Amino acid sequence: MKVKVELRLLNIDDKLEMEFKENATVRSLLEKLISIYGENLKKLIAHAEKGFRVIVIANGEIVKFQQELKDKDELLLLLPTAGG
Amino acid sequence: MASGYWNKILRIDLTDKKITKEELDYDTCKLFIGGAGIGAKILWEEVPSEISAFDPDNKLIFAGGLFQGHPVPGSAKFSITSKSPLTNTYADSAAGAKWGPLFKKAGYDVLIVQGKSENPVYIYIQDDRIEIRDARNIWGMDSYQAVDQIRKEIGDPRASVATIGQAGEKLVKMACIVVDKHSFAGRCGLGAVMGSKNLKAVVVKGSKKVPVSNLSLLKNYNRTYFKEIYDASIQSGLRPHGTPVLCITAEAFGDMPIKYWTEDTWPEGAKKIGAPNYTKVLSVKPYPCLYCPIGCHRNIEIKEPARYKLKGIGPEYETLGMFGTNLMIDDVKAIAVANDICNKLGMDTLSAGACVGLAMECYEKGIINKKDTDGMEVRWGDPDVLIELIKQIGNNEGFGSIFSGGTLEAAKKIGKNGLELVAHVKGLDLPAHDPRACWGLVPTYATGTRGACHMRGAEEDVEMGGFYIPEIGITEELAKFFNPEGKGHLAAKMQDYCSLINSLVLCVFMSDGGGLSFTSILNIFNSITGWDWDIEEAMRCGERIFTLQRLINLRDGYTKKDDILPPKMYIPAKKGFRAGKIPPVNDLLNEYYELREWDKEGLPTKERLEKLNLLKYYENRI
Repeated sequence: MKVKVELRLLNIDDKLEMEFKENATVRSLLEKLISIYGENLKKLIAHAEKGFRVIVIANGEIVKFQQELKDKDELLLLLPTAGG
Repeated sequence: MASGYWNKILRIDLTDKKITKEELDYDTCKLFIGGAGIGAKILWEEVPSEISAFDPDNKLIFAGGLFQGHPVPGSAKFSITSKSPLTNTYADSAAGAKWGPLFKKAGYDVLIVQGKSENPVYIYIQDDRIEIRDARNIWGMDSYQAVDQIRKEIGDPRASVATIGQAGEKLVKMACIVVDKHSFAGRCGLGAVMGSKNLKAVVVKGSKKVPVSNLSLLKNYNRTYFKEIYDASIQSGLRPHGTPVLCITAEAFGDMPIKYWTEDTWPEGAKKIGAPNYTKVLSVKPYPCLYCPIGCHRNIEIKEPARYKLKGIGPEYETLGMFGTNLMIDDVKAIAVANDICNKLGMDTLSAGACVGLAMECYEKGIINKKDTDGMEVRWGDPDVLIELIKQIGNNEGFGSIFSGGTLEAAKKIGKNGLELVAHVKGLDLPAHDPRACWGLVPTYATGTRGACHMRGAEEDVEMGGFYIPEIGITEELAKFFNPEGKGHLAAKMQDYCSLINSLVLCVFMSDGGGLSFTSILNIFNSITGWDWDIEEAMRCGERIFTLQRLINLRDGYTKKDDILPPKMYIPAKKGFRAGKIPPVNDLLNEYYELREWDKEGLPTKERLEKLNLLKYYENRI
């Protein structure tokens, strides 16, 4: 299946289309993105002890990392805010 | 003497130039801690409803808290409490830099300034040496010039100066108090209260050691937590980018004000004014307050174009919101220049941005025209209009003088349907967070004791995933957008938590962005006091402080009908993340009232006041 992904993560500001096999999850997506963008993205969205620190919006709704991806999903990745 | 306190109030009457020292009693310390808590108690006792903000009998209460005087991370803060000229009721505003610690080290917990001087003066406090000095040569200077001149006069470049600019002198009702050209007690117009007393500045330099229950434990905590907060602030982006790190996410969630709350999305604008573009274009370096591991303030430099040349403090997220997307301005350099002008004039950038937004909306709708504006075309997106208008507002001159009393007064003068356009609660303009996106902000704004304020709740950072307090049930489960369930609970708990934090006094960014846990904050608290408080006791104290502020609001004439949001907040977005969504305001408030044990009129019940040790305030609550 194919999904569209937009990253609005400070210096990593990008749009791309990605392909996944059945049963792939948001977590699979994040892991694949780290393999693409490397250490810069890992530092931004992954915490050594607390896991991923990123907001994923799929088709206008916030989703959990274990949610399965669907064909033609449109995903937006944002950083959580603190210090408002 | 209780550990962490001097048990000493310094009172200065500017009318008869009388200086007295009074005892701060132990019960008051235990019930209200310090900062905004003790400020509320003194305001309740000494400023009845018939005293207006500019009455000489109004008080300015400068207060540190338990955390000042030691290198506790985030302890540069102090609180100023008074009756606000914008809301005509309780207001506290906090600033950082280094004033709080240097005041506490001078040997006082609280400074009360009352009366009105015949001529401009400033107060100089150096330990036991206290002077009321002539400020006639400084009156008229902007806030930055005043800091430099006063330091030169007293011969001490390291003294801390809390001063006003021309806006405060001219009684502009959104005037702020500027500390060391670095940090700002921005909201509610307390700079104008200083101006009304002919008080230009309060200068402090203390050298005493504050007594502590367990110094070695405190030192250990300070070291450990400093490192933890520093690391967390790198991850959250607050250290490298400051509060501009919020812009892109806040806009995406529909949280950022667009076109004075009438539009829904502007991702291109947010991207241009927020981080990382901000960090790069403005050549940013972090500028920490004393003892701060984060350094959220920004030191910036603009070399070109020549007309925007600038070196100094950069705008915060709130200013980017209110001067930027709020006005459809995406030139971050122009916003930085406007911010600098506001800082020097000594004026709250949030309310100033709201004034310019109201002017632009009225102009677009034909409510005002070029005849009213002295020929100025007050169009959306024009940075020259922003810069010119804030100069006029801050100097109380020209067309801008119509806004010198704030948006509400201006709308009344403008007439027609101007009042319906003003986005405020109790007279305080909404900050740059939209309660239509983050529903926890609905009860927080509606019941805010100083009006609409996100810093007396910070629910937006909970809902946008960056700030949880598991010790009090503030977890990811409460952070669901557009789900009213639990949002009343979220608002009440966060208000109580922030009331405690503003009384300690601690910068809330140590936890919100710096990751300092509530448990760790209590560890510091207990090592200073030796009181062995737990979370429940601390939260009850926070609720007590918030409730006393509410009682002051009620006594000053506010009722349940004022616990509302402005008309624009009932209009759903047409596009973007919050398209079609409107918060169920009444349902949220009903849940909130029930949790607070307030009656249907919004009055705290006798039973609740008794639980909070506030029973003696019951009979006088309205």
